[in-house]
Amino acid sequence: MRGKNYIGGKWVDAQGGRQYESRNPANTGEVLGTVPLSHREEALQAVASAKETFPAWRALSHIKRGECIERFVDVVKGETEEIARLIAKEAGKALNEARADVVEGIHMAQYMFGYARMPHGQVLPSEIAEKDAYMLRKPKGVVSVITPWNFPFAIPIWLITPSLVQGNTVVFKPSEDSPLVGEKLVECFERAGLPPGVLNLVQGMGEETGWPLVVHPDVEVVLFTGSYEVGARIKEACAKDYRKMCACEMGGKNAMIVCQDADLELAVRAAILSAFKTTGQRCTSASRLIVHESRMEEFARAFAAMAKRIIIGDPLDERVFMGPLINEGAVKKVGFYISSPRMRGRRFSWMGVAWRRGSTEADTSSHPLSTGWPTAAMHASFVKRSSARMWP
Amino acid sequence: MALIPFQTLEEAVEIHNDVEYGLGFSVITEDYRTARVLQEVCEFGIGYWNLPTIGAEVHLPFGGVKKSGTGMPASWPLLDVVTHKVAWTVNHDREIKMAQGMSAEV
Repeated sequence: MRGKNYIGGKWVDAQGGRQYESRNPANTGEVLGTVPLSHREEALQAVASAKETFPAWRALSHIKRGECIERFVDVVKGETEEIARLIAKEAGKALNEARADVVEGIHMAQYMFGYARMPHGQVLPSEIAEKDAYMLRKPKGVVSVITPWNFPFAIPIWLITPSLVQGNTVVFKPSEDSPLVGEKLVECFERAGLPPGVLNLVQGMGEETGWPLVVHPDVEVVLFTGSYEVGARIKEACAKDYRKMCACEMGGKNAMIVCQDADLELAVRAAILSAFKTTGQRCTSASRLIVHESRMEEFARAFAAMAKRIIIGDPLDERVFMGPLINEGAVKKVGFYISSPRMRGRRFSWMGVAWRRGSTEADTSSHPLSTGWPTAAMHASFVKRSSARMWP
Repeated sequence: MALIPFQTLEEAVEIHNDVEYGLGFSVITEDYRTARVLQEVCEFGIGYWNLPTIGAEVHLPFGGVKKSGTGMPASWPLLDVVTHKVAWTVNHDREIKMAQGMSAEV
């Protein structure tokens, strides 16, 4: 697969044909395709295209815009399995989760299609009987959508479809770790007959391609999902521009509180799903289990026992619960926290051993598959000192 | 994964909120009052009772507090971010009348 940018309704290479490879994180020898390594110039072209298209797109009725999204749903429904397999291969999500990713995207698009027929303003009272008062909505213009790899299909649709249905035009930059899924999404919109220039795609790295989409004076709104570090920079940049608005979804240090009266079976299953779905790399993955001390012993044993049952492996294998970490950086990060002195000798390591025993890959080499298990530990060491009393 | 013990509910809340992020949260209990208190005092954007911390649906707000978000969660609240909400007031009288009892006399 040879990936392209999509600017003004045309599939184009980056200038000079610059590109990089998208690889399967479960088998890093497998190249899934090449992707444009865009320069700042392509980002600017995409914004210009979105800006030029904005007047014509906002001139369409809500219903007509909604119908484009409805046709997009039809296209995606016809390709759910193919898209799910691409997600599994490029983002390393277990096939069952990859399918759910597509279904969630469909649901969001359906919701926004339905929303097109809903009221988009309010009739309000006035103190003066001779006054009629209303709240009306106007689209803002060009929206930049910058999204992560962990929901490579659903999250972009969460952000793109509300923007489009309201009459905005969009420049979309997917994560450099899931570019081909991003391209697939845009291709589905193209096949749905979305007019050229309404949705533009630029592939590349954050600094060179993403940042111009944040600071460009013609971008009115930045919708971002990713790390706090990047989100904080985006918030700062938008605060400095009198026109710009941003909405950022960033990380979590999510916790589950298991109370004294908890149903053990339910608690353990909930904890396992929270901790290890998407190999612990969801925004809402749990990294802290705050357990009543009277239940800690039985909970920890049951948690480890269920963790042993988890099958780690190729996400395309239907039996697999947990795929690889997404990239080399994630593997190194996990390795770093696992080997941190604070982790050593903790009760945690006992669970780690149990985990490895239950996995299909027993070694702890740098192979991404084998390093799936310690993901949760990475988060653990972030817990502030005052509450980091590991058990026992 | 950090397993952190607590003795009292107050202590659990203190541990829970003692991080800079506030996205997902879950409580496992059979007791309505316990869950209700935690729902109120724990800092989160997406909360669950007797469920995992994962499991979002598209029509529910998705976002977090503190370092996790910007106070404008995804789903329908995003419609407010991508549109300007403008007031549009129309006079259908021949005279100008002002609100708050303000005089229109010149």
